[in-house]
Amino acid sequence: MNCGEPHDTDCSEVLSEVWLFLDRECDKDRRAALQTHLDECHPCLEQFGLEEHLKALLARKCGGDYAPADLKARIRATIVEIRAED
Amino acid sequence: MGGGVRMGVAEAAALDDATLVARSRDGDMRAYEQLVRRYQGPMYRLALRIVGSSGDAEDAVQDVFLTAWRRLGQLHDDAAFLGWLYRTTTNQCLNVLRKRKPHADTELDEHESAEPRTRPDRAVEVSAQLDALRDALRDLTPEQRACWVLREVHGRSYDEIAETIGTTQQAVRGRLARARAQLAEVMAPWR
Repeated sequence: MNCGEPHDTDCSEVLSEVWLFLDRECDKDRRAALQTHLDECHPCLEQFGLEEHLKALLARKCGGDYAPADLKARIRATIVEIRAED
Repeated sequence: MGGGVRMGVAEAAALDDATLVARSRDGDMRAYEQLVRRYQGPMYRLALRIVGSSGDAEDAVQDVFLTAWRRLGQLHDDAAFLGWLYRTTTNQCLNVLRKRKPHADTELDEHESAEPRTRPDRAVEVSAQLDALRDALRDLTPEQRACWVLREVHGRSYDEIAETIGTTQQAVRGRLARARAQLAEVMAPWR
């Protein structure tokens, strides 16, 4: 994809690295270059927004599970058993 | 195991992992209980997301903490306990998946849809989203699923994921890209 406007960083390059940006896995200089591009390029910002929304949606759907209340007690009981055998 | 000085729950809660690991190695059960209390939640969430069933997730986490207790003596860096837990839990879960028949159901958190204040039309939409996500996660390879869960649910870095799964950063990036592409396709209607 290319928006046709002149940028220091090409649109296709930005979109291929959007997940690295979201995951905070690129170095400071690269991050700044991508941020500059997103600030001035509406189509890329829109695409970035969709990816960010998807990331948040998926993370939200997969949160909120709690370990069963008796799990710690079961682990403790088994360890006590093992120690008694030693 | 020696009988080190025992401590109270509040004192244990204030200690860092390295200290608790060292005390656990000396046979201090309360120190180890604190480590279990601290990390059973994240490890259970990780296991549930990878294996997809609460029973298997519980079994995996119990096995992991028992294995950890037995192998504390082999841990060279006490501060690395959490990374070690992530690695052991992930491997345990991948082994469960490899032994299991394909397409076993993946349970997902129903918390949002179960909220009493949710409007009926919203509840139906959320339920449909959860179904779509359940199917999409189920269709990922075990390794893709593990990479995705470690990244998106647990916020682990590419480097940490690579170490956890025993692969390269490049492979992690590839698996994440493929997982995300599949999930994005399935979740597109709800963007």
